[in-house]
Amino acid sequence: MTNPPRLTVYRSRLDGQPVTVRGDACPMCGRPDLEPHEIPGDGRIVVWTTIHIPPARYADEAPYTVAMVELEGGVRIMGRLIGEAGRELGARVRLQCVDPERGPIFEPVNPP
Amino acid sequence: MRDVSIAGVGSTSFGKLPDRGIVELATDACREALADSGIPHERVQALYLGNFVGERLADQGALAPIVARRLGLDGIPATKVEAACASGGIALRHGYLTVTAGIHDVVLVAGVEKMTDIPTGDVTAALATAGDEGLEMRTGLTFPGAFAMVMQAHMARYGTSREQIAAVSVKNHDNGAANPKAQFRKPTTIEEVVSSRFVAEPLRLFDCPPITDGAAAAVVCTAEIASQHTNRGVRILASGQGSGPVALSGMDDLTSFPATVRAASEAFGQARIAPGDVDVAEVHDCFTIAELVATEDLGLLPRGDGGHAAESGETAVNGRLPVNPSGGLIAKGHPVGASGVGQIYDLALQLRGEAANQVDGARIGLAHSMGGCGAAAAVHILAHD
Repeated sequence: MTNPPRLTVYRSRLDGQPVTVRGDACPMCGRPDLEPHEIPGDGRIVVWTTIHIPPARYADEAPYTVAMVELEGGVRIMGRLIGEAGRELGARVRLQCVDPERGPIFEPVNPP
Repeated sequence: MRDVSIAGVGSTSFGKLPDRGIVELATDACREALADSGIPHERVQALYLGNFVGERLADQGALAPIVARRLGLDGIPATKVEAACASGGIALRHGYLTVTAGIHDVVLVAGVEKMTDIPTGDVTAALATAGDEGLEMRTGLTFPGAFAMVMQAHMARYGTSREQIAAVSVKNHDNGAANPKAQFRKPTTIEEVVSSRFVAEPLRLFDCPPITDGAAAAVVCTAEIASQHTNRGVRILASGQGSGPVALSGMDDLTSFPATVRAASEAFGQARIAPGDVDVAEVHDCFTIAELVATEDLGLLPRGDGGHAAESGETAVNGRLPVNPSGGLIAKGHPVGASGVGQIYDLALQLRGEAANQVDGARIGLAHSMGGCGAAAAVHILAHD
């Protein structure tokens, strides 16, 4: 069995808190003093939307759902959400994979 | 710092205008503003032109010098200002700053966009460039999608109902119906809004502005020069600007845009007035939910009260706090780079007593222009001169 995919986030070297999904600078203080940190791709839905009018490059994929997911340590990340179930605020999701173009793809945990 | 006035305003109709290119739209609005001001065009010392997606949708960069030359203003400093959908509001701020600082005495401020002859998917993609591509928009999130998330968050946090949000669309369509420059001239109903098709669930078509061609312009000058040429000048009491996270996932609170809060705080401080002193407001209703959040961020309404205010008629033309009597972006139309200057056109008419949906006794007006999902905001406070 393969290990579940994990996500790389960045945490401050000062206090170790995972703060951002992009490693250029701390969004709180602007210091570039960050180090990469792997966390599990498990999280909860903060908000979601189903896109019915897509941008031209994803014209053939609509409707599709995009969710903001809160990960371990409170880091928030935007990703596609596949599957019909679990489109509720607070619902548990897990990372299925990271698509090179579309970014993280999440799926519901324990779909009914 | 010198007192600054708007001596004249002009605007094209907003809508589908197949006979006018992006340059012609801008020059039409500028000529109208100059004629309205009574100030001869050779006195204009600089042009600030708001435009967001002209390069992508109209294949034209270097717009400001082209427009200046077409107006017979060849050689003056001509600057395009881009801050997504706040481009127009921030163009006005730059014009204001140079006049109040004494760098120029008379400047022309304009905003323009040409959007209707492009397929919707390409317009959607162009507007999405105001989001964070690397973090968020690559997922296929769109602008309506981002505001759909804000709508969901506002409903969850404050118990705002679907019907309350729809009431913003009904109010703004009612207002647009009486505005001769508006793209939508027909009223709508709550039932029509909540049963229109999804654009980005839970946001529906009638929660959104149309795709629009249009331009607006204002002649900004010292109060002294304005008074020499017109008795219909409008004073710029204050100008505020702020910025905020481009990525939605960088927001601490999905129901508030810090860029607006900061711009409003600066503007109210400079004008030395309180939100309760505002008689009429044109706010950035790029979606129904955006009007609710704007009125709360500006301090015009308590947090979470936006939905109730729209539903109860408090923000109607004859209400306690008229918001978007022009029809707003939703009914008047949203030529994105022009919208912030379009608001100034409408507010100037209100303060001059010449508006289509005239607010009785309007003396102090507020304009709020926002770019991206809270990336940039400008707030201007105008007063009867």
